[in-house]
Amino acid sequence: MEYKNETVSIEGGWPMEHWQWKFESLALIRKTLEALREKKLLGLKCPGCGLVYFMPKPYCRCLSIPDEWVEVKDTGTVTTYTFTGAWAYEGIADEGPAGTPLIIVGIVLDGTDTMTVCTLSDAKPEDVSVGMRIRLQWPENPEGKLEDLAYCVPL
Amino acid sequence: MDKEVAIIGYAQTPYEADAEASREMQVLEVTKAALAAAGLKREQLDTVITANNDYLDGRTISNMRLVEPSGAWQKNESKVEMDGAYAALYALMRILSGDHGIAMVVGESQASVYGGYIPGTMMLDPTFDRQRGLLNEVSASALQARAYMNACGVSEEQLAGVAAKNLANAAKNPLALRADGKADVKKVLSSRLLYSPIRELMASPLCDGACAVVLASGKVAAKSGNPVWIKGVGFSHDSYLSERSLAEMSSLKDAARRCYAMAGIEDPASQLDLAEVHECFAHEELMAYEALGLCAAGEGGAFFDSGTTSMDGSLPVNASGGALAANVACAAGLARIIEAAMQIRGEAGDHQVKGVRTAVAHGQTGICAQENIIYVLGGE
Repeated sequence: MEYKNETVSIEGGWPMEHWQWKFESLALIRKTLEALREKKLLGLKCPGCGLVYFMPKPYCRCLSIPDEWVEVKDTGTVTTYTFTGAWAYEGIADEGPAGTPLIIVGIVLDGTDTMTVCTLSDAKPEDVSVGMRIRLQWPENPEGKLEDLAYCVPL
Repeated sequence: MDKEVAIIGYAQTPYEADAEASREMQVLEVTKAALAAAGLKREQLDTVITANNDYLDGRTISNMRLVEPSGAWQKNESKVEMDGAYAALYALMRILSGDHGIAMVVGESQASVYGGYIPGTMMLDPTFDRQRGLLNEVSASALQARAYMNACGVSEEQLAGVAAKNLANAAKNPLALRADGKADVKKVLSSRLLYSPIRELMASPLCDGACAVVLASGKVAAKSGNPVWIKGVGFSHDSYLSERSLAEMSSLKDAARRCYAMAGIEDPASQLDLAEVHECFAHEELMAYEALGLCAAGEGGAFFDSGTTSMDGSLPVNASGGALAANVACAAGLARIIEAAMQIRGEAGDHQVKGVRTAVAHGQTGICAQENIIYVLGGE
């Protein structure tokens, strides 16, 4: 097995930029992102089972197509959480500032039925609990990007 | 199912952090060993099903180079890109069709090649979760752990207890990668924190390895020595992690219901002698106790504390050390089937449990155990 660590290069490439995946969800998410500029949160409701998806999703487990835009609140409830240790492991790097745990919360916004993952700021790990109420922390001037939804704070 | 399909041979490589051999040579090794164990020649195989993954292999058609090593040359061959326990399902159905008598089932992958947890992020929702960069296999499972612990009053000490039990069991399994005969709650809790509450020793080690099972129709199996019969199978698929309760394994519960109905299991805790569970993280074993009906809903922690699932309990779980001892993607669930069959045959050596007649084996695929499959196996 003496060749084990050798790499053999072959001329050529795999041009992923030529791939043109199709995601209906992109158009839906663009609408939700656009609304963020006005500090509005748009979820998508399923006509079949009534589930409200946030983020929006183009298909439902009941085989219906969610198509009703509903404005949801920027408050919600923590359904689960985790926080990081301060090291790297198996390719996963701790991206928080050294020594400061990053608190990741699963939240369900009021008026929605699906979980969104977000970073909790203004809190220490020992302050977090399942069931705690939170509010999204809007940036002063939302730019209509996913980053506008990056943080929430205890309510 | 009554004596329709049986396991008549099996083999596993040792599980290693960085195997010297390639995947092809590891598959060749287990294929030959499983054939020898079944007393068969390659020519007698009717069909071959492998479990592997293009993304993990880094090349398309990941089964292409396994045709010869898996014994499939000029034979009826196919693959699944899921756990090997699903490859066994595919082979089982081919035999039940009546068109095939003997099947080779192989599962394999090499984490040393694909690089840790990085590929797991490709299981995330591409438009939102993958962009956010907060979730990966470990952090998502940490959210699952916390949701479960909160709903069922489970402590970090109980998660550590599961890990300590499995790592101590693994010390008697010569194929295990991670094993520690002196593991205890304190040692697990002092291993480094990955994502609270998951610590390093509560997370399965990714590793290299392969395993193979020979399945045969009742007619063939009846003539072989010591067949292990498939008494039932059930499988179920759940929603993506943000659209279901992470506090329970509802798809495993559904799979168990279907499987037990087929196998005639009405009271799993008393009718089963052993379970091999595919726990990628310690908390998933407790969640599986509940989903498999070994204890009441919400009682996973207390059931563990009762000692029932330890090596000297009445229903040992993961006598092999489970996936916390070795978790080869695409093979770990198939390895649970092998370990359960080994126990029924009385071939488990130092980790043999006495008097195992009926056992359950579990495999899972997907982030936060999105899809689950279980088998009930039994001897004569």
